[in-house]
Order: sequence, then C-alpha cells, then structure tokens
Amino acid sequence: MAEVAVPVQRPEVESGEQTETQRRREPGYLVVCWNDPVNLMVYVTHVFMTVFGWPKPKAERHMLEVHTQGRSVLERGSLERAEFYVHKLQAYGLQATLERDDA
Amino acid sequence: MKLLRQQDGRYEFLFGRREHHVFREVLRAFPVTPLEHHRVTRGETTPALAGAQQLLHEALGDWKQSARRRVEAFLADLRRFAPQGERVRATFTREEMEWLLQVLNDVRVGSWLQLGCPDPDTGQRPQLTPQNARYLPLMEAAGAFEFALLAALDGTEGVGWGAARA
Repeated sequence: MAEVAVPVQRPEVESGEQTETQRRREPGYLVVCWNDPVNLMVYVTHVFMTVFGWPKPKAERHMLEVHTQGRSVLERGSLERAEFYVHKLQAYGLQATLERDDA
Repeated sequence: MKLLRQQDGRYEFLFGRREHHVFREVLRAFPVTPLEHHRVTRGETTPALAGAQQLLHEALGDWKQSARRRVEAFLADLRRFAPQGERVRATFTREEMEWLLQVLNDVRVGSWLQLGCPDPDTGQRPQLTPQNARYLPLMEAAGAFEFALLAALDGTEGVGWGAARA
C-alpha cells in the first residue's frame, strides 16, 4: 500500500536577520534635538525645514522649544526611522539623538 | 559676502578680498568636529543602540571624508571665484549652498568644542590658549558665512546676531 503523503506543517522559524529587521521597524523611539549655545537659531529652523520638509512656522515652533525647554521631540517611530533622521540632523551638526519612547 | 542676485536656483555673491580669503580659510579647516562628538543617544546604551552608535560613526565618517574631497576640489576650481577689481564674484547652486552650510557648521561646532564649549548666556567665556586661539575667529567667521547663506536662501536680511543662537 502506497503511503499517503501527509503535508507537514513546519513551525515558522525566523532567521536572525529577519528578527533584527523586524525589531528595527517596531515603533518605540524618539528623535530628540537638544539645545546648545553654538547653533544659530535661523540655522536650526532651516535644518528642520530641509530634513523634515516642514513649513517654516512648524520648524520655528520646534526650534523655539529647543531654545526655551532645552529639547524638542521631532519624530516618533521605529529605530530604523529614528536613525535615519539622527544621521541627517547630525550631518548638519545639530545635537540630535534617538531615545526610547517610554510614554 | 553680499548676495547680488538669485536666479534659476543659482545664487551670485560678491566677496571683499579679505572676506574671500577668510571664506577659503574656514573651508580649508574642515573637518573640525571629531567623530567622538556625535553621540546617538543620551540615554542608556542598549545593544541595539550600541549598533546604532557604530552605524552613526561609520556614516558620518564617510560623509566627512567625501565632503573633505569636495572641499579640496571646490577650492582648487579657480573659475569658481572670479576677481572683479578689489572684489571676488562667486555663484553657488542651491545644492552647493546646502552643502556649504553643513561644512561651515562643522567648522563652527568643532571650533566651539575646541574652545571649551563657551556659553555667553551663562557667562562662560572661551578658554583661550595659544593652541586653540585660532578657533575663535574660525567659529565666528563660519557663523557669519552661514548667516549670509541662510539670509540668501530665506530671501531676507535674517535676524540680529544677538538673538541668533539656539
């Protein structure tokens, strides 16, 4: 009697690389810009407009928040997304970091 | 450094002779900000963030190297700066203006670090030594050129120096 082939269901095993990719795309990070006494206010506004494509009033609002509050949260998202913006902002010389979003 | 005209995404400037010399000296100083200054986080360094830190240093290291090569080519291009009597004319594209802003700000921030991170708002003055004294004029000149480029991009005269720091 011929054996009947029974489809075997394998558990989905993710490769380490896929897990890493997924983890990098999960939300949970903030892009924060910190105040410093060296970057010109007009320069910071310009960088926000250029990097995020924001209109001037929004860019100025965040720049003033940095200036008066010491920091401003510019973006929320995945590690991958936060890294992208931190690289761009730091290439412009701004003190921008990515932080865990514990809220 | 005075904007003469802006047309079709090109910005024509007029430099005084000494101003032109200072502009070139500031660009020649690039890069000034050390890679170690670029921190990816101020929070706890998790394994994921340690990887992100390494990635940031690699990306910015590559960027600074490529920008340094571009600065050298920029300064070597004799046609870019056209003498006109006692003055010099130069035309930059929008993309060049953006790149120049990044280069100038690297010199400004790096000079500020060399001077001990002075903060006039808290009365902290630059810590001048014979070794770092050259960074004070570099920091101020880089800021002045940034200001001129930004005013040209914005189409305004900009705002006063006193209120110009973030």
